[in-house]
Amino acid sequence: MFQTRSARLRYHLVAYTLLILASIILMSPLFFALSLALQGATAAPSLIPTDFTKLDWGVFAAVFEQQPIIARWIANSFVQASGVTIGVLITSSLLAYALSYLNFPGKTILLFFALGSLMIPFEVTLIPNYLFISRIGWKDSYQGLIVPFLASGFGVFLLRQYFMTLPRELYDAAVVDGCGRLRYLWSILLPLSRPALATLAVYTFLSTWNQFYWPLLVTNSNEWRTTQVGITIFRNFEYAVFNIQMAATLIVMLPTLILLVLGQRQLVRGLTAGALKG
Amino acid sequence: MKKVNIVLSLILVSMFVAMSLLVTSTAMLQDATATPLPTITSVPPVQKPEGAIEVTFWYGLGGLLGNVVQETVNMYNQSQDTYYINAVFQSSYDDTINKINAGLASGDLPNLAQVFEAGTQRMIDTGSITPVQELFERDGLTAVIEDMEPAVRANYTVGGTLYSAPFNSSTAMLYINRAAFIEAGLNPDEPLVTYDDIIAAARALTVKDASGNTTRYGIGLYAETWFFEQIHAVHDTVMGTPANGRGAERMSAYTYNDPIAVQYLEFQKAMVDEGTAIWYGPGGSTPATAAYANGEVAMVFSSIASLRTLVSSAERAGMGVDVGVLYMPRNPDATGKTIVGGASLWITNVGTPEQQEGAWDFVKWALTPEVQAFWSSNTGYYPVLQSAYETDTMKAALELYPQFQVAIDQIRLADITDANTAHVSGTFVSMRQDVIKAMDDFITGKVASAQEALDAAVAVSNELLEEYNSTVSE
Amino acid sequence: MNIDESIRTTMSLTHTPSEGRYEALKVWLARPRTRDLGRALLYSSPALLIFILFTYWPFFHAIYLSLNVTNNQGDAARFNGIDYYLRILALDGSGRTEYVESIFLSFQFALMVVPAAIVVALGLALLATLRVRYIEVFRTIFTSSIAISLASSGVIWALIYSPSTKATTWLVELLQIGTPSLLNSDSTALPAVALMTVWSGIGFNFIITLAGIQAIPQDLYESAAIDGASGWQGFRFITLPMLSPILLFLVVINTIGSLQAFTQFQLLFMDRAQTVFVHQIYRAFWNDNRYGLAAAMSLVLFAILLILTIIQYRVFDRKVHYQ
Repeated sequence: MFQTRSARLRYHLVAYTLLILASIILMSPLFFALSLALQGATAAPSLIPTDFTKLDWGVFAAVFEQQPIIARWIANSFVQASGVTIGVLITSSLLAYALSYLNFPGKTILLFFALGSLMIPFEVTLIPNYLFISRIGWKDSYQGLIVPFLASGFGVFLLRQYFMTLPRELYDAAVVDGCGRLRYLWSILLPLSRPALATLAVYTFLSTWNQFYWPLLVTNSNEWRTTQVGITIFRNFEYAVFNIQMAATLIVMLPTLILLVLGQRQLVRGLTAGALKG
Repeated sequence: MKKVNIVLSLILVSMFVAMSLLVTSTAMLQDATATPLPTITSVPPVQKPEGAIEVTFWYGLGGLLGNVVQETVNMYNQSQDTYYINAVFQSSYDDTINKINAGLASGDLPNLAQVFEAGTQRMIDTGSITPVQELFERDGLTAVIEDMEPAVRANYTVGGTLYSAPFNSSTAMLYINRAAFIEAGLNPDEPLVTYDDIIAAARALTVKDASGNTTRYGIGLYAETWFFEQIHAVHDTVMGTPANGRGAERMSAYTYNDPIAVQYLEFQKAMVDEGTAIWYGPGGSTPATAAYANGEVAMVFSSIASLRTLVSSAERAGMGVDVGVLYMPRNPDATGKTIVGGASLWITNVGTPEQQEGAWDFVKWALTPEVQAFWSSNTGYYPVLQSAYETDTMKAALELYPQFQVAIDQIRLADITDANTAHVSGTFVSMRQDVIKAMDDFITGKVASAQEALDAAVAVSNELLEEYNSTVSE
Repeated sequence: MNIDESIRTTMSLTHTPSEGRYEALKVWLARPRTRDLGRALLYSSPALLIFILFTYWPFFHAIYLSLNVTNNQGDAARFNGIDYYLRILALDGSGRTEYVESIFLSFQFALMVVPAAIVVALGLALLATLRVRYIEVFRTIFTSSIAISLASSGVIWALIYSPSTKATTWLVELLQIGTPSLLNSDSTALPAVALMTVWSGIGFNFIITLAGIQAIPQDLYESAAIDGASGWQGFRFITLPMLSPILLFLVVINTIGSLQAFTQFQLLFMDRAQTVFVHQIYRAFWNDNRYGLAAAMSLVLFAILLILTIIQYRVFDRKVHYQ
C-alpha cells in the first residue's frame, strides 16, 4: 500500500490528526453540557470549570434521588422506540420493495404519497390523532405510543433509494428461477440491504426516543411518561440554573449512545461485508 | 483517493474551526464554596391509601420549585386519607394549558390544574371550571378570601368573582449591586425612584477599561413584557379596554401604545444609546441575570422569586456582588403599584362530585397560614395569606432574606384598581410577543420611534383579540 | 402494452359492448402491470393503512379547518373562506408581510443548512474510510450526534451562544455585530441556528453517506487505479456518481427537514419576532390556538415542500445513477 515507511507514517499522522480534531469538535458541545452539569447550582456557570477539585459529581445521583421513576421512563421509551422500529422496518421494506421492483401504474404517485407524509407539519396530525387515540382508549398504553408511527415516509424513501442501487439482474434471475417475490425480498434483498436497514433502524429508534409532544398528550400519568417528556421536570423556573437539567439530559442520552455503539458494530459489519460484488 | 479524503476533510475541519476555538476561549473565575440554594425540606411521597378518592392535579412548575409543589402535595396526602392527590407534571405552564385545550374536546381534563396568569381568560372560557368563590361562599369561608394578600386576590378576580385559588405569586423588582453603588460613590440605601434617577445611576455605575471597552454596564436590559405591564400598573394605566378586561365585559381592544409605554421604551433606549445599558434582547433574562450575579451589570430587572438564586449565584461567582432590591421605577405623580404574576389553582367541573370535593379540599388545605408559610419560605413566592406572616417560619425567612420585605411593601403601595392589577384577555400570550417585537425593534433601531413601534404592535394584538372574541360564545 | 395486446383489445371492443368490456377486463387483469399492481397494493397495504389513518385523514380535516376560524375546542366556529391563505401570502391588502418573510427566512435557512450538512457528512464519511486502526471508534464518535435530541442540543447550544458563558464572545467581538450574543443580531442569528442544526444532523447524514460509500464496489477503484486515475478522478467519476441516489435522498430529506425545523428555533429564538415559517405555525397552534390559521399555514408549507420535492425528483432522479 505504501512505497516507503515514511509515507506510511505520514499517512497515519495526518489521518489521526484529522480524525482526532474532528472528534474533538464534534464532541465539544457534550463536554460543555458535562461542564455545566458539574458546576453546581449557579446562575453564572463558566464554560470550563475553573476548579476541577470542586466538581459536583453528586448531581447525577440527585437526578435519581429527585425522580427515581426515571428508570421507568427510560424503559417506556425503550419499548416504544423498539416497537416503532420493528414496525417501520417491516412496513417500509414491503412498500419500498413494491416501489423499486414492481412495475405498475401510479408508482410515482404511491412514492409521493409516502413522501408526502414527511411534508405535513406535525401540528396538522397531532390533535386529530390524539382525539382518535383517546376515543379508542389507548391513552397511557404502549399501543397509543407506537401504532401511529408504524409507517414512515422516510423509511420508504430510504429503502427505495437503496434498493435501486442494487443490481436489477439479480431480481430478474431470481424470478426466472422461480423464486417467489416475497422470498426474494426476505432471503436476498433484505440481507443485501443490511446497512440501509440498520441505518433506518438506528434513525427510527432514536427519533422515536426523542419524541416530545405526542407522548406528552397521550400519557396522563407519571408511570407512562417517556424520557423526553419526563426530564422536563428538571428544567428550572424563575431560576436560570441548569446543572440538574444538564445531568438529566446526559443520563437519558447514555442509553441511546450505548445502543449506538452496539449498533455501530452491526452497521460496520454490514457495510464491510462487500456483498455487492458480482 | 486518500489525498481526496484528506483534502475534503480539511474543508470540513476549516468549517468547524470556529467550534474548536470555542473550547479554548477563556473561562471566568469562579468560586464553588458558596452556600447552596435554599434547602428544601424533603417530604417523601406516600402510597395511596385503600379506598381513597384519587384527584388528578396537573402542574407546570418544574425544577427545584416543582419539588416544593410535590412536597406540598405529599404533605396533604399524609395529613388525611379520604383523598389522594395524584400530581402529574405537564412539562411547563405553556404545555399545561395546551394540554388542557387539547383535552377540552376529548373530555380528558384533570380535577385540579395549576395555570399561569396569562391563561386566566382562556380558563374561564373553557366553561369547564368551577369558580372557587362559589365554594368559599358555600362553605362559609369568605374570611379566607378576606385574609388574602389584596394584590394577589385581585389578580385572580374577574368581574367580581374569584375564579381560581392563588398559589404562586411574585412581582418584578429592580435588583442593584450595593457594592457597586458604594464603589461608584452612590448611596445604596437611598432608593432610585424615577427614570432619571436610574439613568444617572447607570452613568455613574458604568466602568470602562483603558482601551475603552465597557467592563461593567450600569444596567442589563432585555425584552420582557411583564415589566412593561408592571410599568402600566405602577402608573395606574390600563393595557386595554374596558377596564383591563377585569369588569363584567371582556377586553375588546388593547390600548398599550400610550405615553407611559413610549416613555418606558425611550428610557431604555436612552441608556442603551449612551452605552450605560446593555440590551440582551428577547429571551435575554438568563444572560442578564447571570451578568448581574457576575458583577458585569450593576442593575437588572427581575422577579422577586429569583432573589434566592441571585443571592447564592452572586456568592458562588465570588465577584463581591451584594444583592439589594428596589421598587420598579415610577414618575413622581404615579399612583399605582406593581402587579403580581405567577400561577393559580383551577378546579374543573369534570370527574365525580367526590373528586371535585377532593380538589376543593386540597385548595382549602393549601390556603392555610402554615402551608402558605411552608410554601413561601421554601420557594421565595409571596404567601397568599396575610396571616402567614405571623408564623415563625415566615419570620425566619424574612430575617434570612430581608430584601423580601421590599417586595411585600411594593405590592401594598396603593389601593387596588383595575388599572393597577394585571389585565385579562384571551390572547395574552400573543400580546406579549407583540410587545417584545416593538421593544426590540425600537431599541435596536429598526423602527425609529417608540410610538410607531407600539402602534404597529397594538394593531397586531387587536387583530388577534378580535378574532379570539368572535369565537367565544357568551 | 405490446402491439398484439392492443390490437386484441381494440378488436374485442368491436364485439358486443358488454362481452367486449369483460374480455378487455380479463386481458387487463392478465397483464403483468396489472398483476404487479395487485401485488404492490398488497405489499403496501400495512404502510398505506397507517398513512391514511394517521396522516392523510387528519390532513383532509386540516383542509376543512383552514377555511374556518376555530374555537378553543379546535372546532370550526365561523366560516372564513380563503382569508387565512390571503393573509399568509400577503394578498389581503393589509400590507403586512410577516408570513411571506418567514417563508423567505425558512428558505434562507435551508440554503445554509442543506449544502453544509451534506458537504460535512461527505467529508467525515471519506475521513471514516481511512485505513487506520480504531477507525470504528471514530465512526461511533461521528455518528454520536444522532443520539442527542434536538431538544437537548438546543438547550446546550442556547448556553453556548449565551453571553453569560462567554463561549462565543470572541466571535461576537470578531464580527463586531454590536450585540451581546450571535442570536441577538439579525445578521448572525440564522447562521448560528444553522450551525447548531448542521451539528445536530451530522450523525444522521454521516451514517447514511458512509453506508453509501461502503456499498461502492472496491474493484471499480482498483480498475480505475490500473488505468492511471488519480484520487480526485476516482472521487469525481466513481464515488460521486455511485453515491448519487444517496445524495438525492439526503438533499430531499434535509430540505424537508430544515424547512420543517422548529425545535431549535423555539429554544434559540425564544421570543424573537422574526422567525422561520414552521415556528410561526407552532406559535399560531400552541400560543394562540388558532388551529385554522395553523392548518392553512401547514397546507401552504405542504404545497411548497411538495413542489420542491417534485422539482428535485424530476431534475435529479434522471441524473441519478441507479444500477
